[in-house]
Amino acid sequence: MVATNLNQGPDRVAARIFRPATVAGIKDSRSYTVFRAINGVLIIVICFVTLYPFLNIIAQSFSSEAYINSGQVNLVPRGFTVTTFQYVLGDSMFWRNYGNTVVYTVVATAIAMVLTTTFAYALSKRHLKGRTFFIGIAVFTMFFNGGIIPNYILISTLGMKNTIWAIVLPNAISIFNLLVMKAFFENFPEDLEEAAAIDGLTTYGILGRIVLPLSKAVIATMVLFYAVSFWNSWFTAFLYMDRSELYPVTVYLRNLIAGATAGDPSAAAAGEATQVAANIKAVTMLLITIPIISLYPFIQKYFVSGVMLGSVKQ
Amino acid sequence: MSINNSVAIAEAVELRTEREEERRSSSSGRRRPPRARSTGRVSWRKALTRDWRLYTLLILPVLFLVIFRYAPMAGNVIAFRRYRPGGSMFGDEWVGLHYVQLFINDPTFWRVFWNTLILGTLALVIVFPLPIILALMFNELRSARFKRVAQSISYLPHFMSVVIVAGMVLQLTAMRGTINQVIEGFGGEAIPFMQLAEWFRTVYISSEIWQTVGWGTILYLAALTTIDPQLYEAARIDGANRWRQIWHVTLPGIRPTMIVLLILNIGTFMAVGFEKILLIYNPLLYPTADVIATYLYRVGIFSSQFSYAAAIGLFEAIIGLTLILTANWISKRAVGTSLW
Amino acid sequence: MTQQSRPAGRRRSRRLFAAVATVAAGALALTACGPGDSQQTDGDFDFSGKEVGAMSDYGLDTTFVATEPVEFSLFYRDHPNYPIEDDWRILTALDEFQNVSFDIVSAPLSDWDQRKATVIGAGTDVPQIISVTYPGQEVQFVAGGAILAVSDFIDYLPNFSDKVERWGLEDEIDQLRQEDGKFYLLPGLREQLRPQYTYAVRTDIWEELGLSLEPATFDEFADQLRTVHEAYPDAWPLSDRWSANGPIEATVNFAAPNFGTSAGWGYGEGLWWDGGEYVYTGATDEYRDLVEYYAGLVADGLMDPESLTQDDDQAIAKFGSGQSLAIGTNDQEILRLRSTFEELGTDAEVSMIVVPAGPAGDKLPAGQRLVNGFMLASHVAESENFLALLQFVDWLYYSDEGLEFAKWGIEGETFTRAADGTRVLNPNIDINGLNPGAPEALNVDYGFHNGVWMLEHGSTVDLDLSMLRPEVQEFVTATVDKKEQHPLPPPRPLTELEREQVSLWQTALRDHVWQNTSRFIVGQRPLTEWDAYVSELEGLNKQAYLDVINGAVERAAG
Repeated sequence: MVATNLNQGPDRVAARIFRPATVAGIKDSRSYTVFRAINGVLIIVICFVTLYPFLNIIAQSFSSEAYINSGQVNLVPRGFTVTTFQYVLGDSMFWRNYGNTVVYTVVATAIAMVLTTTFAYALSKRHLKGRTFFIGIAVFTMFFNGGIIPNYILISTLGMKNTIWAIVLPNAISIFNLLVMKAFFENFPEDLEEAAAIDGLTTYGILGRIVLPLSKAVIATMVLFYAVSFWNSWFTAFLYMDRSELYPVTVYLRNLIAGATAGDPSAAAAGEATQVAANIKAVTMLLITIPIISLYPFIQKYFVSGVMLGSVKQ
Repeated sequence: MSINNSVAIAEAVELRTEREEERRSSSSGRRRPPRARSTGRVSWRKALTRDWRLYTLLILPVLFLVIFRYAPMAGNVIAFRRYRPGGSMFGDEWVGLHYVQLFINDPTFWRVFWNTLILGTLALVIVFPLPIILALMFNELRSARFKRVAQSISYLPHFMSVVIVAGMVLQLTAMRGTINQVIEGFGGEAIPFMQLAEWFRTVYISSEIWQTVGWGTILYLAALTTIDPQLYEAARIDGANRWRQIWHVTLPGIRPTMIVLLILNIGTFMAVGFEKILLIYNPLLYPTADVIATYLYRVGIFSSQFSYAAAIGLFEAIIGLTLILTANWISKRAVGTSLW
Repeated sequence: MTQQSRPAGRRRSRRLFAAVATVAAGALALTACGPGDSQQTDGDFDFSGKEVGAMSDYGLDTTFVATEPVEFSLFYRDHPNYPIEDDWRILTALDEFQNVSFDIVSAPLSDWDQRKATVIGAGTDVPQIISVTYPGQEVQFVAGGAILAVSDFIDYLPNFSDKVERWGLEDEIDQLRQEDGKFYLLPGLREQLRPQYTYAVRTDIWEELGLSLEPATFDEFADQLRTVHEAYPDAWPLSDRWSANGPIEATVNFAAPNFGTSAGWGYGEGLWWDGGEYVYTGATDEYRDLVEYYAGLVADGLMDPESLTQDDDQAIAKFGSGQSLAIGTNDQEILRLRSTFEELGTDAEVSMIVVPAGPAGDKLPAGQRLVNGFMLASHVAESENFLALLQFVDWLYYSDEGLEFAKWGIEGETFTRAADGTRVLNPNIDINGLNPGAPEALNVDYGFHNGVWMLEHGSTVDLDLSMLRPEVQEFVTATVDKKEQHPLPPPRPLTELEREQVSLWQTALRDHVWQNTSRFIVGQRPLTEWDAYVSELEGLNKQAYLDVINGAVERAAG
């Protein structure tokens, strides 16, 4: 098991990574040690390749117009300036919209998790009569949807326009997430549930006290997926909100980019537009993604072995 | 731990493994213990009394589906009517299969259809296995901190907005861009990637790999945590080295997740990235880069063809549904795991 | 890999709609004659019950004041550079002086067209006034009956009719007429067209090499590029931009009229009037001349072939770093190029050249004088304020007073009028860089000079040029004086069915033209294969398309 090795050995990272391990008397084969070395190197390369463009974006967002326009910005900001940041962060509407995003994301994720988890759990029970039918109607909606205008008419008729419900409800269940969660629940060991049933717990109790606490990894993953998806979404808000104070920050920033780069003569902007144009995309991307990227490390701690099978045997 | 205890535990774990294997492979319903599983054996009344709590869990989600998914579906009817924006969806002429014929007879449609198909298949075949491999690679890292940091970095590309990614791709493939600099450094001749249709697929798939691989590992890493640690223990005691452990414990452990994702991806493989292609492509690349969505976008510039687009949408949806049903059926027969 | 709802995607098509519309324009004032009597006045509309708030004596050059406070719903396009404020002076002024207030339904600029199309397409809660609509964008809504046939109410729009007549725009308006003979959009009117796009060159290098900043012909311009290339062999003489949807669309758009054809943004539906009938632009010899010119530039190493594939940021980076010495530009973008050089502290200077003449002479595209305007939802005809609304939009968008108000603001409050009539913006207010460093901006703080209420920069030449920098004023005047417009082709309104079938052909044809234009220019396909290319177009239903179009011409004329 991987965990047993972690507390052994010297602190130097390289030595720790590349030293052949001995576990329970069995030494790693030579080929495996070589593999681990290559593995480490490859992963470092991958990290570099994925990190580099990000650093470039950060550099751009702090660089001045002139240097970007002459292609001189690489990993380090040139002509250090925070003009664009000031421009965006100084707008009160930006903060209002940011607050909206947070609220929308939290509420939407909560609703989505409740609906998806209960649905997935119920569908994971193979003995449930009509199960295939219910799965079928869910999968069907993955492919067939009404289109923008019918959806718009629906939301409008329900009076949900300009309310939070128009954003958090229409996409509350992602069938993709539903099916993945269902698969996880199906592989949940039945004995634990049976033991709990014998102990007198109802379905709700089993779900709440046994299954969910031991499924932390998949729940954490789904929370992450939903949160990221709602955080980045802009389409529902843009379509159903008539006032700019209701927008999430994604719409605000998307609009900002469009305004700075539009070649529309009749919308010729004041002089400030030309100044923010060059790195506006980089700045907006950073402002949107930094908070949500920081979510993952908090989620990671739930990625531990969730199913303690040993507890049943002993 | 004494040898005896280890053996006892190993035996217990072996039993458990066997039972799990049996359970997994029997989900196709062939060697099922006498549990009432299929319809007809249990009446609805009995099912409801036995499982009513489970059914209550279904109420809200099904309500959601009906209201937000099935109600607007009535709007798909415009694929069979001549829809006039602003008019009623039901009140206009019924034209039957007119739009379907329209796109069947349109040669451009078939060209973009094939492009979509090819790009989707390439993405499936090439991009699908990579997150698995990367997840396994992460799993083999001994240092927990390195593993955490590397994971967090690897999924950064997922968050990059498509506009920026497109800009980056164009920059990298420019005549004096990084890729060509490397090529020339090795003594080759610079390739005008964005002018040659034959390079587009490579460029597109590469950008997809870069953007999605890190994020795709998350689900697999979650799956890896559900593998019983004692299975590793038992395998080690049996004398398996790390390679064999991976083969016999790890891979089977995440197999259910792999299958589910594979089936889902097969079903949705025609959903190729519209916005990214739109930002990257240019007329020189139409032969390989033009997909259904970009084609409809251009048609829409001349006149909003709601009905035409809806008819094509239905066509794609039928293909997707058929594929996912087929994949599911094959998976059930061949491997025993399936979506339902 | 989570699923997200995928929008049907029709964004960022504003420019292309404008392009489509460009074909529908260009009355030549030469034929000051023929008061083009295709204006139909419908039978008298019964306004009883719909005159609340309307003036009884409203006419040309009357200031509109509603007799009772009225509120109109307005579909507002929110531009990020001047986000809407409830206490804008323009809103309070309209309320105070005109008794008009608005119920504003706002949508962001970024996806304005899609939102508009969805709301109107759905037909629920459509606002009364739908702003910022380009000619051509209203066509999709006509059949569904969602928008008002404004041509029926021309009699109640005196300022509009007056300007159309004075500026000779009847033929252009005819281009807006649909199959039923009516038109559904109230366009922005221009007294004179405004050229905007041209080449920006490195003035310092041009002067160093003794080259004129006003090349007379495109051939001369090519020679200039040649000279530059010899002097600076490591840099591209020209590396262009604006190829997002088609090969160097902005550039060929301003070059094409001089070759006797249309291209790029101006390509539209690919139809060219040869005097007797419509022919397909992409197959004409004049189009060939244009393509040959640019293919020649690439072949001689004068134009960077990446002009056709790179994005704008890359092109700007090349110019800014000196890797290229000329680029396409407009009067706003050139400021950006200039400030880049200033900030870098180099000696580089940039200026716009007047577009040279070509084989077909010194020409401007036809039309171009009907520009983005607004639509009215069809349900306004049932509103009790209908007549007041008509009078109001006529005053705000078409009367001299309203136009000045929307652009400059209020005399004494935001600007003052000098003795000779020129307007001077108050020193504490800035717009377009007129008072740089001023604490307030006319659009941000006051709401004037706003694309929703101000049509096309003021429409009249006087207003239009009044806020432009001297450099731009010179450019505009020089171009308009030098060049002549192509004549306006006849209208060709299609029926619904025709439009449906034709749009697929148009797409296929245009894709083929775009693709081969690119291939010819970068040299992937030799120009000797031109005839083969033309016959390929035949195979794409070109003739069938032309037949439908020419049939529509006859139908409209007869």
